[in-house]
Amino acid sequence: MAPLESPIKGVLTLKNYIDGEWIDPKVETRDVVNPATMQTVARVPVSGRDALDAAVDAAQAAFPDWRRTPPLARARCLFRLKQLLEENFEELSRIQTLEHGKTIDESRGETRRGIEMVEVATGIPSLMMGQNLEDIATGIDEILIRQPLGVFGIIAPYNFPFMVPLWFAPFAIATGNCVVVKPSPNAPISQTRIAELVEEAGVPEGVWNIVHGDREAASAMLDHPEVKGVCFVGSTPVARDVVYKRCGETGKRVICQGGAKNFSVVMPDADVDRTVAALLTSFYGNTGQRCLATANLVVVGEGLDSAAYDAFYARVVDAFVEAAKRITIGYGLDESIQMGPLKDPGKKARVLDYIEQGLAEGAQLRLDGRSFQIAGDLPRDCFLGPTVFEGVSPDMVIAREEIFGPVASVLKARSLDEAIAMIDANPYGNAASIFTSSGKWAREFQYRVACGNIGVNIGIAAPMAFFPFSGMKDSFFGVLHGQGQDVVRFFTESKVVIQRWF
Amino acid sequence: MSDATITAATIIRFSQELEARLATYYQALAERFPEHRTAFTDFARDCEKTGVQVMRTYQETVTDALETGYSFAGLSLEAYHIDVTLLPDADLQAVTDRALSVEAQAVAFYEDVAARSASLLATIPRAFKRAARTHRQRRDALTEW
Repeated sequence: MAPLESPIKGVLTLKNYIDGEWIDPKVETRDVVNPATMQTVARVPVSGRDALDAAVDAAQAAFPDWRRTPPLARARCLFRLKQLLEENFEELSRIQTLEHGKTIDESRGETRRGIEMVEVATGIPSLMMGQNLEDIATGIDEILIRQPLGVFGIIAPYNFPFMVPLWFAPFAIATGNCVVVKPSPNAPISQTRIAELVEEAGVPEGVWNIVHGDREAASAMLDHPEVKGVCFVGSTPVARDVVYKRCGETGKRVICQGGAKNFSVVMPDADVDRTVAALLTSFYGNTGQRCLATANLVVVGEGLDSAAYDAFYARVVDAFVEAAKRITIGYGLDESIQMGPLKDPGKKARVLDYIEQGLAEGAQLRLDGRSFQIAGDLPRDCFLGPTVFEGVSPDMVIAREEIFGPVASVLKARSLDEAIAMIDANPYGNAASIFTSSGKWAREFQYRVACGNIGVNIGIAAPMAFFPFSGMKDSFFGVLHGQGQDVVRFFTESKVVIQRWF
Repeated sequence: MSDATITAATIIRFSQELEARLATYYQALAERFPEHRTAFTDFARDCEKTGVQVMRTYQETVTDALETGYSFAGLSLEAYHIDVTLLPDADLQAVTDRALSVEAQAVAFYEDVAARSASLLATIPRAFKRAARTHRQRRDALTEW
């Protein structure tokens, strides 16, 4: 199928958006490369501390007026932004495919998820309401008021470059705060386009700022005394050892979402055909570069004798492997493509290293993604096929560490207890899914598994905008989560008034 | 087209092209047969509306939870290919017969994808069923001519 038309002609030069102005920081730039074609689509400035400080100053200056703007008026800005996002739905989606490599279906899905955040945030007049109780003592009333705090920083990952900042920013400004967004330097275009729409929607100058950059800009955000809190999504070492730690030292609120190693558990009573379809998306969607992706498939033999278990295992794994073999790989702007490339050659090399480690540890390659066909005449630099390892044990590196690529490890467990023990022994706790027809097993799973997002016959347990995006153990550092009421509380201080009139 | 390449985007593209081609066909008929201009123009407008409704449903429901790459595995779009060639000497009976055939194909296509998407968000099979109903009603109207 012919690729869709690219929304980017030539090479874009990205700028920072600070205090309502588009500013060229006149610093070193970095190429943003479309991983499917290896062509440069944009140049992004690697801004330093000065730009970040200027953005925070602008946000701080905008805050007093913005917090006094009635919640309904703030919501109307978001309604306008939502409308603009809808009008530019297709362009925004294609940009994500260009900057990241994901398929157009996946990009459109990401756009929709992002818009849903804005939609939910428009409900802020209700979401932000406080509480009150008369007569806590004779003639004394008590009132809870939710007040904004000031400036918040958002540090975005490359894997969902459009959506992730929208987990936070719409709620932050809806509650009366101002934001500074630092997009991933690897995929910064869609955030730039969002800022253009923010400007068009009439969000006042300084309320929503974009500073492109890398570690220096991020460090400046963490250090800045006027930044009241930081929302970060990225790897666990950075989340735990840098962002969470530094926010603790500087007294900032923090939502830190780290890495993952998610398990899908298939029970003997699962609907195998529908389970396999869900597993394919979960393992190979976004080319495995998703914190909710399943990485470990556990086929459980609870209640089966050895022969029956072997037959069930073979049925599940054979169906999965056969389906994975048929996945079409290519340019995400081709609508028939089911899996795009990894983000860059370095990330592909990292995944290849894990495949080598798996082999060295004794796992068997049932499907070797190192040999693959691409639809179309494209450079192979970032592409990799679906890989399936069998004979994996929980102690192997490929079963323990986050690979962040299209690699599936298949493990065996004789019971649900054994499967849950495997999940709980893993340091991560982002998501886990069970595939079963048994309510009892599903209930046992959701009750006991120490992961933040649980799927029951769902391959990607992605919470909707009105629920928190949870996470536990080494996948999350903080208290309140992104999205939903959690993030409204994160962006507001609870002030209590106790009043009596003489 | 092999069943390996049936993504949600492919299905929607097929629907969009089907509606657009059929709308063009009816617009051409409206010009060629002035005595039926109103009916054919209405048919064309309905096709455009169906295209908008299907696209809107897709854009409003497509998320990573939909298994978009794999929801329609096994479907062969070749079975639903439509031919809306308008021959220069075709009379009203001939063009109506062709329209009936195409409408029947469209009904079959939408009923198929509605059934295959029954486990997805309710709005998705509903949109396909509505599109099937529209084509069925048009086929019935053409049959009565």
